[in-house]
Amino acid sequence: MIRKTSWTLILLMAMIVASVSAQNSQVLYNMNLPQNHLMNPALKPSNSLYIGLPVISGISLNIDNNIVNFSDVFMKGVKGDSVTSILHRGFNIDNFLAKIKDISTIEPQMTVQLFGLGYSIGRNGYVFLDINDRVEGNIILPEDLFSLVLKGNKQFIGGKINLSALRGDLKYYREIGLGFSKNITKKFRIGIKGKLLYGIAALSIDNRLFEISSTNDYLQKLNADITVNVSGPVKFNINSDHTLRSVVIDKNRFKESGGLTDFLSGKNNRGLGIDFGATYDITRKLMVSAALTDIGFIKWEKDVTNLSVKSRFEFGGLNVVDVINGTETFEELGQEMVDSLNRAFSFATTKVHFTDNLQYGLSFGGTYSFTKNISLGLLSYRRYLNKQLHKSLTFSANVNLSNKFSSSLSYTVASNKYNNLGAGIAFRTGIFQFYLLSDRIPVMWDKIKIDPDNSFILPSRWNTINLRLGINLVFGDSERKVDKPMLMVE
Amino acid sequence: MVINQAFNLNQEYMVKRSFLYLTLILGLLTTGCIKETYDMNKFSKDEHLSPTMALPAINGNVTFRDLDLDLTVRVNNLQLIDSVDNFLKVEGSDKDNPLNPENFELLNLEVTALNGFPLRVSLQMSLYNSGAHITIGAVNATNFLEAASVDNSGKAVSATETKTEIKFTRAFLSAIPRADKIIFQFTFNTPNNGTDYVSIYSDYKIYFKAAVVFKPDINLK
Repeated sequence: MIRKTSWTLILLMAMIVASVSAQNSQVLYNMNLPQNHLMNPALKPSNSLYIGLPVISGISLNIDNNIVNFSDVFMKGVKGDSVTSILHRGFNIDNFLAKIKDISTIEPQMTVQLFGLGYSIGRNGYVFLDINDRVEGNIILPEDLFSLVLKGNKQFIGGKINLSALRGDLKYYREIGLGFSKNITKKFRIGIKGKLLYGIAALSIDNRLFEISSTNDYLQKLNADITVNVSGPVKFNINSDHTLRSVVIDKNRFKESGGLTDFLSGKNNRGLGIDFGATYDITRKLMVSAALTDIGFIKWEKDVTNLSVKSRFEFGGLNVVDVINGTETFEELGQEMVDSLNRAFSFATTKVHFTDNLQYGLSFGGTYSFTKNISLGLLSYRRYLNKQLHKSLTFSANVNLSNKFSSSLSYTVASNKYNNLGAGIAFRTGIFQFYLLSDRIPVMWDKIKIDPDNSFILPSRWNTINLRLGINLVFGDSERKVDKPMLMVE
Repeated sequence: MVINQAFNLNQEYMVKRSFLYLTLILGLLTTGCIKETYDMNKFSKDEHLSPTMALPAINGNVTFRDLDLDLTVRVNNLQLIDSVDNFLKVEGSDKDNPLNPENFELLNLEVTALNGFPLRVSLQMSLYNSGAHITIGAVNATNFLEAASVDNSGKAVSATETKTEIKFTRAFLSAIPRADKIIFQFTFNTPNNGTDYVSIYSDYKIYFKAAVVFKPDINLK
């Protein structure tokens, strides 16, 4: 048995990669909360019935960035308590740029639970329904962009400013998921959740090429081939010469009766999704689990605009021969240049439906229970965002006293940061179960005074902000029922 | 099993204790550890965005095809002077002036020229106030154009490339509004400090291009 356990642990560790960066409420995984089936549909809370009320049952906020912290941009000055920034003359901007990665990412995610229901069926079955509104974003900024803005283009002369990594995706959608979990054998449990997805709004930048190259004699060449896919009440007005005249948000539709409701229904942008999960009790004390979540897509069909931008522009300066010959003035020459710059970008719009895949996640976990109430957990989570792979690894110590009280202390390696201390706490009073958890509790804070009477605090290290909280209505507790005969035997 | 039993018996006690400890830890972590206080009312006023930009400005060819210039000459410090209206001056306040010295940390013109003439040229550009009859600022490019190589007969055989950096100092830029004329002074010399004879033909030409290198001083305060 020990040999089997060891091999399982080795196998589990082998699946985990050390360099990691992603958050997904890892603390939640090992807590006795109804929401943990969002991470693995095979996980079952001990309550027999739970009801999640709109908004208050669950709000989850997650922002990952690998760029900078407040203290990287602002710093205390040498005189008294003055504040300076990286743009102060005394600051060496190269020190700041040295901290910027090749690809910088900002990934905001927010989930608001509109409704939740979970009900235990039979001996070990569990059926659940979730309605969640989700906002997910992924913004990628190439290193050259920071360098260009802060240091200018002179440093790139004779080379290339590569902005092709510049991308952005933002989508707001609703998921209605119906799931079921059950023990297949005494030790093996599976869970599955099917999801209907309703897209409300989306913006997606497909950047195939965006670069500015220059020769040593300053000849500049701009090449761009970008498509911005939008599904939402936005109108792009293009002139006949393919220049962009204006971008207008259609506010009038929200003034019409049912306009906002129709927009928020997302009924015309449909998609499907599915979550799989499984747990296996290797011994009475050791359980391993795996889950594949958020496999799916949304087909965006309503209010779709594909704005394509193409450019192949070359500029080597104004040819002043005509000015020298007296056939043209400098003003006329300047206007020609402005006109040609305006025409450098050729805009066009189409209305072709586009499909957006969800950011699917893969998790492997292991839990070793010292007692019925105390356990240690190890969880590897990977999230796949287009070409990016984000990984995290969490160690946790958990105390779950039925659904009366559940807590977890965790250490997560994510966003290439090794100081993510997380905690979660949940307790039940009557039918109300309160919970609050974070994968990263900021240990140090900075206080920002904006005027003598007002100030706010920010985490000193804000690469990862992760928070999940809510109130559930819970009924029954299967673990307490199991406890009684065990005590009677004793 | 013994531990399990103990846990079950003391569950209520454990709940209270664990809750208390976790609350204390969370409270300490979230309120007690202010690392720095930033008073944004004392934010420095010396915050500037100054990227160094390099953009192509002008290019062209200078020829004298229409002139019958076939001649053999020796030129020593021949000066051609021409004055034009101050085209750098913008009417209105200093804020309207794109060449306001406060807007630039650096403003240079990098000129690359391919000189097909066997003449070395230097340039002086002066800001002139005709009312006071004084020159109030000047930039010099002493090696503006190096002379083309010549054969034994004095005929240019290959053009010579010259790269010159003309620096517009803050003093020069601040003098622009006070000048009504700009005086261009070209000084010509044939090779060997004007001692060699050269042949001048009408098919000689000068190709030039200039890039402007500037560092705008964008004060963010």
